[in-house]
Amino acid sequence: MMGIGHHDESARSRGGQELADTTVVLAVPPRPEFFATVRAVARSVSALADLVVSDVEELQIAVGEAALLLARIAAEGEPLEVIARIAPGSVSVTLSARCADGAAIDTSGMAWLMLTGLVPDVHVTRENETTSIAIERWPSGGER
Amino acid sequence: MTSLNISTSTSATDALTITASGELDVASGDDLVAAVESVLETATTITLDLAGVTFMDSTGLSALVTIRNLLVDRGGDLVLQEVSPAVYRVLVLVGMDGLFGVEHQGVE
Repeated sequence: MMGIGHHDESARSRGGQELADTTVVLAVPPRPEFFATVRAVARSVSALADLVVSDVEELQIAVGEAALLLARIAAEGEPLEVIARIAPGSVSVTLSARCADGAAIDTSGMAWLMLTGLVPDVHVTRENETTSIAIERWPSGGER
Repeated sequence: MTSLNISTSTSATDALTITASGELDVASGDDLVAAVESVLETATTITLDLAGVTFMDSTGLSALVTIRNLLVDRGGDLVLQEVSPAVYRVLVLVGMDGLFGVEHQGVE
């Protein structure tokens, strides 16, 4: 299954302020072939939010690592869901997947190291059978 | 389908260079390792030209480490040439920029 939705509450034109409170929803199979799609959404949303180039690139890498971590424990046949939100002054991306019983995010490997190295504000939650990784990124300044 | 283009060339001095361009990630890292494995019989030191790599994730980095280990185990080495900013950013992030011989790095 792959789908994409766009829930637009206040967007009128391009720009971080005008697009504040805009949400983009994406669902893809948790397979490597689709990670580039997930990263592209993260890149596009963060660019629309006027994050600087270095922030856009780092968020893209972080979201890719989160997708990788979730895909490794996702239950077979279940989609990887991505919700990207433009908030005033920040971008948040939450990735979720229904996971196999007892499966947990690997916090000892390179993917976790890179994810938390790029984005200090990472939250992992598990509710029923769904594991989520939430990432929030504020602009850090630099090249636009 | 891979998002990484890989080509191999040999110079007049028999130095072997593998050039990769595109995205070095979980979908393509194994392809790069396979490209190196296919030339292990003819070269122990290989130069990887990564100037055209626009994205690298942790699995791409793991592929580079695997390649380096393959070559070092055979008495050779891996040299990274023309490292793009996208690759260099990840190497620095995980503190591996000193692990590889980097001849040039792209400018951000």
